[in-house]
This record gives sequence, structure tokens and C-alpha cells, in this order.
Amino acid sequence: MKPRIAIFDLTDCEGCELQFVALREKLLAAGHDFEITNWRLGSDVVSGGPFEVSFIEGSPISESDIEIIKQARKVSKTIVTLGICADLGGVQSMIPEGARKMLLSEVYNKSYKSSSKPPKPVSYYIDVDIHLPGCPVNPDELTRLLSCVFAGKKFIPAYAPVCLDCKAKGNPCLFLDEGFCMGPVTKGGCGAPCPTAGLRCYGCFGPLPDANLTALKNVTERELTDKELENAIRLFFRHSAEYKSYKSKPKGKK
Amino acid sequence: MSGDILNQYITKIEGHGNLKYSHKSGSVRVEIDEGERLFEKLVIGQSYRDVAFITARICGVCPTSHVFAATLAVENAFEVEVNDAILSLRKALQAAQIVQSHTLHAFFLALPDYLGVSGGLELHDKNPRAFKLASGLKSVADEIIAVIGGRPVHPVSPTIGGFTKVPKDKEIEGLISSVRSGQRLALEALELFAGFRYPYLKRLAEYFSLTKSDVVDIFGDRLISSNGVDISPSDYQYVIKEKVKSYSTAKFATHDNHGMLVGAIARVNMMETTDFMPKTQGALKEFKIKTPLLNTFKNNLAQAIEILNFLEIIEHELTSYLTGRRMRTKVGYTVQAGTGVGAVEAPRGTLYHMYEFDKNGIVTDCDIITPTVQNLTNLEDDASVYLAQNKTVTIPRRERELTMLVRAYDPCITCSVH
Repeated sequence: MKPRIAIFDLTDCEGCELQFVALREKLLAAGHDFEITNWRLGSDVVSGGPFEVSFIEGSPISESDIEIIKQARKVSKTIVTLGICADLGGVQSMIPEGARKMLLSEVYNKSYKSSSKPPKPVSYYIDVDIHLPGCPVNPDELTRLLSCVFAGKKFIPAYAPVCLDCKAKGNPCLFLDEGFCMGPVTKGGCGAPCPTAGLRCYGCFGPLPDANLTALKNVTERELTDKELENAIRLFFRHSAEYKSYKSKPKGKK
Repeated sequence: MSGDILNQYITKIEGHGNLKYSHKSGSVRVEIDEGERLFEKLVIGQSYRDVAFITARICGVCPTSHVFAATLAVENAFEVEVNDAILSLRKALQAAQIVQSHTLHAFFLALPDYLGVSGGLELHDKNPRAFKLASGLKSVADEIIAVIGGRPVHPVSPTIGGFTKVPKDKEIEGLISSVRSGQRLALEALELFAGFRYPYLKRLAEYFSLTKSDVVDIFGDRLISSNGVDISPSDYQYVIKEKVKSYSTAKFATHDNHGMLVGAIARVNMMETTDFMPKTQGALKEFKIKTPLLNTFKNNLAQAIEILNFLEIIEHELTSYLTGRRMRTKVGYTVQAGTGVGAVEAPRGTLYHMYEFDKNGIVTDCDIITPTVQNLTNLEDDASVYLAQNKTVTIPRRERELTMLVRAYDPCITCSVH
């Protein structure tokens, strides 16, 4: 029997798993060695495990989201988080946790009952073996990851800021030209599509390990208000260790 | 039983949902179980510059639609008028988004039911011709979105007032030739979908679409319905009412207390034969397709019609961009306090974004109504009518066909619970 690769999606936009569809022929080639299963969006084929690799996309919010990942962990050798929602909670974690109940009653109505939880990284609930970041993931990185899996090799994520990808494209620096960009503190591996199209980096690959957010604050003080910078950082970094250590530093201390 | 949690939703639809029904009473419930992300609240306090980037994350299947709805809403609030060159590129990009989404849905999610396979990837071995059509059409759509939008998912070049960057003329010429070869594939695809036997259902609905000068238009300036609604899209809140149901994290929209239908089948039904582009008109005649389509299972056929029609529209828009007067591809604007509505024909129907901004362009209020929310009431109604009209059909077949009906609607549950 072929080893199985499972794909599970939790609460999210499904943009990352669509990158599997974008792989098309490459994915079919993979199908010769592996069986792709439990891909709710792609097929009826289901299995209870065991799985060689389980991809998990989205952030655990609903009760069943959380049950799914706990069960997936039990029957999977390797767990890969696919995209920033599974990795760090995604844009939906911008909602302050304490305000969630009130906001739910505003969006729906006072009698609306929800068993959902505030979005958290998948690693809050279960151990994760590989993190593939991005909003959405870069299909080239996904291909590289799959090649590593098929070859039984260890996957090492890109370890340089977006600036490296951006320089390689020969782009003018938006940080210098427009006064702000998340590129210097954000993990690369995306190929810098946003700055290449003239849009600043929003940080969708999550923070570079040990990114110095205090330094970012110091150099952008004249360009951005505290609130603007806070919004920009929280968008994708909220559940990261880097953000927590940045917030725990006493205010005004450099 | 431990594996059950890994397999509890309807497969091959975007998002987590289920259909509960009683064969005896004919009652039907669409139960939606997607976590609430609260986008309408998380944009509050954000800058007008960032709303399109953030709300694009509502959906990975149709992010371009959300980018445009948000961008048009900001432009509406700041009273920005864009020129014809910008409009042509925008139309081509949004039309390509519809082609991309329809191809994904019609071929990879719905077609397996009609060909008796478990999923789109299996088509490669079991029906190579269909797989080639799907793969080819998706490549063309991906290429247009990547060249104009900056990448195939979550486009990055559209901005308030136009585009941050536009393709070179040579690249546009390349797109036009790809689009032409795409049209040949689309014609074959339409023949394929015209030849299926669709399950039986006959029911008239109230169809809605944006129009411009009485013709269905992606960025139309009027919202019209088959029952006579004719308003400015900015007044959508007077016509569309959202209801909260205890069994669903998505709201259900109604008009005059009954269901409404938007998307491919609604747009096709709102068009006269002569409103279609020339090749599409010819194909409708050749394959003997009669509109309006009163069987919602045929939404998949409507998607195939639209794939061809929109590829023709893309060719038309890109050609007028190249041959028209050269204009700036980004116009200036001034931030001002105000409310703006952006309405766009998304793959699944009319999408509305409304924002209220303070004088610094910070969002103070937001409302988003997605196409799937507008379709859910009608889906429940169609499902109970299906049960009533198909009493002699065996129960297993009815169950299979009800799942096919849900798929035919192409619900985007991730969009509906935003």
C-alpha cells in the first residue's frame, strides 16, 4: 500500500491548499508514490490513517477544527502547517481575544451562540514538525517541501528576510522610498511578489527568527504613529515569540 | 469510529458544511460549520490603504473579487473616478478571476459527479480530455491573473486609483494569444457540459445581477432582478436582508422574505441571447442551449457558458486597452471622511463591501455581503422542491443528487462566514 499524505483544512480562506491544484502535473507525479487522502476540497477519498504526512491549513477556531488536529496528530508521522493561519493564526487573530464574545453578538445578534475559540497557532494544541509559512504559501516552496518528503530528506525553510528575495529581483527599496515596509523583519522564501508589484511587504511569512521589532519601531517613529505600527506588526505576527518579547520590553527603553 | 472526525463534511465544496434533510417531510437545512473570523470587525481601526489587502484573505478562491470590492468602496467614499484604460485592465483581471474559479469548480469539484470519479485529480487517468481542458483553462486564467495582478492567488498590483504596476504591451499581446487558445478549450468545455444529463429540478427563482446600460456587467452601476428590482448598488441594504440561523455560522439573505439567486446561472438568465459575445452566441445555438435555465443543477452549464463568454470579454478589454488612447494607469485621490460601497460580480454572484471612514481614512464601520450568503435561502428552497419533484427516485440516488445540488450552487462557505 502506498504511504498516505493527508490534507486537512480548518478555518481559513483555502488559498494555500489551492496551491496544490496549481501544482497539477507535479502533484500527479507525486501520486505515483503516495496516495493523497482526506482532501475535502479535492476528493471523496478518506482514510482514518496512518498518514506519512498531514498538511494542516487554517487556524483552529471551531470545536471540530480542534478535534481534527488532535486526531490527525495521533495518526500522522509528520505534521506540516500549511500557511500562516496554521502557523501563527493568520489575519483573524487580529481580533482581541477578550472582545470576541461582544463582537460576535454585534455581527450576528445577542442570542447567537458560538462554541468557537479565538484563533491560535496549530502548535498551541499539538506538536508541529514543519512550518511552511505564507499567505498564501509559495508554490515553489511547497514543491521543494514535497520533494524533500518524497526523498526522505529534511526540509529546511528559507532563513533570510524578504529583503534578500527583493534585492534578487532588483527592486527599489520601498522602506527607503515610502518610509515603511515589513520586509526587513519578515521571513523570506516568498520571492517578494508584493514589493515587486510596488506593494509594501505586509509580513505574511511571519517574523524572521529573533527579528528585532524594537529596532523597527525606532527607525519608523517619524513615519508611523504607534497605532499604525502596532496594526502593521499585529496583522501576521501577533502569536509569534518575537512579538511577545517586543511587547514585554518596558516602553520607551531602547 | 475514531476516524469519523476526519470525514464529516460535504466534500468538494469550498468550506465546511452539511445538508440535513428529511425524506418524509421534505424539510431541508444547510448547516454551516465554519469558524467565525469576524472580518467586518477586524478592519475597524485599519487604514483605507490596507482594507483590500486584509479582506482579500476572506477567500483564497476569489481574492481578486474582494480586492476589487474593497478598492471600489474606498474609491466610492473618496469620490475617485478611474479612466477607461484602468477599467479595461480591471475588467480583464476580474473576468479572469471568474474563469479561474469556474474552471476549478466546474471541472475539479462538480464534473467528477457526472463522470463517476472521486475527485479532479483522478480525471487525469479516467478522462484525460476533460483533465486537459481543465488544466489548459486554469493555466490561461492563472497566466492572466499573474501577469496583470502580480501573482496567481491574492493579486498585488490593483490599488486605489488604478494599478501600482501594469504589464508591458508585449505581455498583453502574449495574453491575448493565450486567451484565444483558451477560447478553443472553452468551446470544447461548453460542448462537454451541454451534453450531460442533469438531475431533474424545475423552479423559478428571483435572479440578481449588476448591469450597465441594461447588460450584465462585472462593475455595473445598477443592481437589477428578474422581479423588477432596479437600484443603485449602494442601496443594497434596502433590498438584501440577512438573517441569523441557529444551525449556521453563515447568515442567510432574503429579498422580500424569499430567497434570491446570484452567480453564473443568475447572470446567464438575466441576459438576452444577443447580450452574449459572438462566439458564445454561436455556441449556444450550435449546442442547442436554451436560456433561461430553470434547473439550478445547470449552474455548472452556466459556468461553462460564462467561461467562454468571459474569455471573449477579456480579449475585447485587452484589445481596447492596447488600441485605445494611452492614459495614466493610476489616478490621484484625496482622503476624506465618508461612506463607500463597492459592488462587483464575483464568480458566485454580486459581492458587496461597505466601509465608513473618518477624515484620516481610518475604518469606523464595515459591512460585507457575499454571494453565497445571498444563495443559501434559495439552496434550501431548491432542495425541498427537488425532494418534492423526485419522490419516485431511490433514496441513495436522492442523497447523491442532493449533494450534487449543493455542489452545483458552488457555495463558498469560507466567504459566507467571513
